[in-house]
Amino acid sequence: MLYAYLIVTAMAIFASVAAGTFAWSVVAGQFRELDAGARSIFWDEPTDEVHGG
Amino acid sequence: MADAHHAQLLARLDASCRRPVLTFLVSAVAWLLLGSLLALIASIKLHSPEFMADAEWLTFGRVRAAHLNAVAYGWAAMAALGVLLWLVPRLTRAPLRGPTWLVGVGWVWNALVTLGVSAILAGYSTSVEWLEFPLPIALCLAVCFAAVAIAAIDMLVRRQVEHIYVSLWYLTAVMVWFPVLYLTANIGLHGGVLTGVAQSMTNWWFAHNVLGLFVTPIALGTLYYVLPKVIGRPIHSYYLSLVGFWALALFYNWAGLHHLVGGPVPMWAVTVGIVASMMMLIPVATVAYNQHMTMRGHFHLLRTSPALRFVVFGGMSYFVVSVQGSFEALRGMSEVVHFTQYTVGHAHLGMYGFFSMIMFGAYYFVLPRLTGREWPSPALIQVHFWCSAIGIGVYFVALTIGGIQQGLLLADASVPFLEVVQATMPWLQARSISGLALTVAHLAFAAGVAGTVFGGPSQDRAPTLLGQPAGGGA
Repeated sequence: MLYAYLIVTAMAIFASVAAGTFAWSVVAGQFRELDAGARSIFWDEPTDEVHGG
Repeated sequence: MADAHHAQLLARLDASCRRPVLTFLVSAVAWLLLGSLLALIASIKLHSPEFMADAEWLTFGRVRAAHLNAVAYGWAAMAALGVLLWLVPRLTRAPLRGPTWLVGVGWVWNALVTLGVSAILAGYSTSVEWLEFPLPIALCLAVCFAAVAIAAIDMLVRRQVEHIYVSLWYLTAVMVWFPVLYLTANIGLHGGVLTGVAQSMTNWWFAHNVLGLFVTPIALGTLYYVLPKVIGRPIHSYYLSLVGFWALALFYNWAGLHHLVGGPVPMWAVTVGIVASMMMLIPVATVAYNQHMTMRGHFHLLRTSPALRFVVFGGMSYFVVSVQGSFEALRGMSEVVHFTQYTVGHAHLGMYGFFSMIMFGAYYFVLPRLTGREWPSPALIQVHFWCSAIGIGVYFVALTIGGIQQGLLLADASVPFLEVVQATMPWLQARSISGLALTVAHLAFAAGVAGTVFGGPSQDRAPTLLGQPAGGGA
C-alpha cells in the first residue's frame, strides 16, 4: 500500500500544480509571453494566409 | 511570403524526406483498406456467425486479432511514422539523412506486418491482446522502429532552431517511450520472463500505453502543428500545451491497470491505475481548451479546409473519448461495462474518431506539399469526411447504448444468457452498417491519395477546398 500512497501523492502534487496553472491561464489569460514559442513553427510560411490543403 | 532562403530550405527539407514519407503514408493506406475488410468480416460474424464459417483461418478469433494488428502496426504505426518523418525536418529545419535506408525500413516494416497478420490468420497468434505477432516478428519490428527513431533523433541533434516547439516534444517522447514499451512487453511476456498475474498487468500496461504514449502523442503533436498552420494563428496558450505534455507523461503510464478491475491483482495497483485515469482529465482539458481558444473566430474555416475539418474532429473526439475513459475506469462503471461492446465503442472512438481523423487531416495537409499535386476531387474528400464522421458516430453511439444494456443484463442473474445475446443483436448490426460506411470512406480516401501521389505531372493550382472560402484570403 505504501507504493500506492507515494505514487498517488506524487500525482496529486503535480496535478495540483498543473490544475492551478490551467485555472490561472483560463481565468487570467496568462502566458501570452511565450507566444514566441508558439510562433516558432511559422518560419517557412506566411501566417496571414489560410492554406486549404 | 517566405523569403528565398526559407523557400530553398523548405524545398531541401521536403526533398530529403519525400521518398520515405510517401513509402510509409501510401503503405499505411493499403493497410487501412485491408484492416477495414478484416473488421467488416469480424463484425458480420458477431451477428451472422454462419458467415464464412467454413474457413478456419477466418474464424472470429483470428480475424479480429488480424484486424487489430493490421490497423495498429500497419495503418496507425505507418501513418504515424510517415507524418513524424515529415514533421521533424520541418520543426528542426534539419534535412532527413539516409532517406533510401528509411525507404528500405518501410518495405521491411510492410513485410513484417504481412508476416505477422498471416501468422495470426494461420493460427500462430500469441493470444496476448495488442501483441499477437510472434516474438521474432515483434523484435524485427522493434529494430525497424529503432531505425526511424535514430533518424528522428539525429535531426533533433542537428536542429537549426533553438526553440523546441510543442509538437517536437510529443514526437521526441514517442521515440523514447514506444521502444521501451514494446521491448519490455514483448520480452517480458513472450520471452518467459514474466509469469502469472504479472503477465496480465504487463499486457494492459502495454496495451493502454500504445494508445496513450504512442498514437496520442503523435496525433496531438500533429494537431498542434496543423491547426495553427491552417488558420494562420499561433496556438492560444503555448505554456498550457507544455503543461498538457508533462501531465500526459506523468499520468498516462499508470492508467492501464484500470483494465484489471476485479481481477486477481493487487488492489492498490488497480487503484493507482484508476487515480491516474482521473488525473488524465488535466492534460485532456488543456488540449481541449487550447484547441477551442485557438479556433475561436476561425470555425468558419471548417467549411472549406479538409485538413482543418479532420483535425478538429479528431481533437474534439480526443476530449470525448478521454473524459469517457476516465470515468469508465471507475470501479462502479467498469463492473458494468468492461466486458461489453461499450469498451469496443470507446476503443474505436479513440483509435478512429481521434487518432485516425487527425492522421487523415495530416494527409490532406502533407501530401500536396510533398508531391506538388493537389487533391484530385473535393467530392471524394466530402465522401471521406462524412462517411467517416457518420460511420464512427453511429458506431460509437450504438455500441455505447448496446454495451450499457448488455452490461446491465449480464449483471442480472435472472436473465438467461441467450436473452442478453438477442438484446445485443441490433447494436451489432448497427456496428456492421457503420463499418460499411467507414470502408466506403476509406475507399474514397485511398482514391484521393492515389490521385495525389500517382497522378500526372505536378500542378500549379490553388489548394483543393471543400467550398468557396468566406471572405478574402480565407
